[in-house]
Amino acid sequence: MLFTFGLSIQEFLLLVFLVVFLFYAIYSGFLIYHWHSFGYTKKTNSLATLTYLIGSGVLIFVMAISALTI
Amino acid sequence: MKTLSQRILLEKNEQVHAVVRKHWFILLAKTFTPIVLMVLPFVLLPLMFQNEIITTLAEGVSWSINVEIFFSALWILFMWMMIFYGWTDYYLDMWTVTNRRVIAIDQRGLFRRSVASFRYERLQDINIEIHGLIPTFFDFGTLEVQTAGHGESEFIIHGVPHPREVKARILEAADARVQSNANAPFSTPSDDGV
Repeated sequence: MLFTFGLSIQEFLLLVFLVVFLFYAIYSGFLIYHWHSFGYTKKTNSLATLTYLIGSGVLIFVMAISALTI
Repeated sequence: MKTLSQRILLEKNEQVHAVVRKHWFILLAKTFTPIVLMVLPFVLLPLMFQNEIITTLAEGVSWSINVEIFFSALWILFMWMMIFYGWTDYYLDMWTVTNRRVIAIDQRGLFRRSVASFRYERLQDINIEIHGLIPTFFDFGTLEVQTAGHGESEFIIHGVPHPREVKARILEAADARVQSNANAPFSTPSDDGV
């Protein structure tokens, strides 16, 4: 159990996932807040938000599924 | 919610002549590294498996394809966030040239932002610098505006597309401003919108 600190690999991945998700949520909140507060056109702000959330959402989903189905 | 450009309070009779954003190549340069690094897991992980590096490092761990997918997705997520961080830095920088002043908005990272302006009455000199092969080819460079004030101050914007054209527009607007001031000797502070 060199990498997993006594946890099973699934527990370890889920722990990593939780920490990453927390960081992602805070960071994304700041990012999206900036676009909508300081961005120049509403269309660009919305498009950026949508692209960012779809892209990162897919990756978060893949991470969650791969951790849960191990 | 109003966007920042809508919240910039223009003065009475102030008109926007031009809005200057950084050249697209600056955005490309900012996002190129994370885009390239995105493919790293697809190259590195098979190599590490081939050379049995991972199996040696993680001895005793039931390594599976899911773990590989998990860490690859995690890596790509971080790169994705880096790309949008770079884009935010690019997107939120802007210079607005009006008939009275230049308003410079500079975003540095997420928590550092400056909004400054100078009036044409304070304008002393404008320098442009196009340095290197790529800036010469794509016609972008650095614009430095020297203004008079408490000690000389400088406004600098990097990666301005067509800097000669931008310089000409600022000088044109400054000349018109000086001319209108000369023709209106009895202007009051309220006329100036101050």
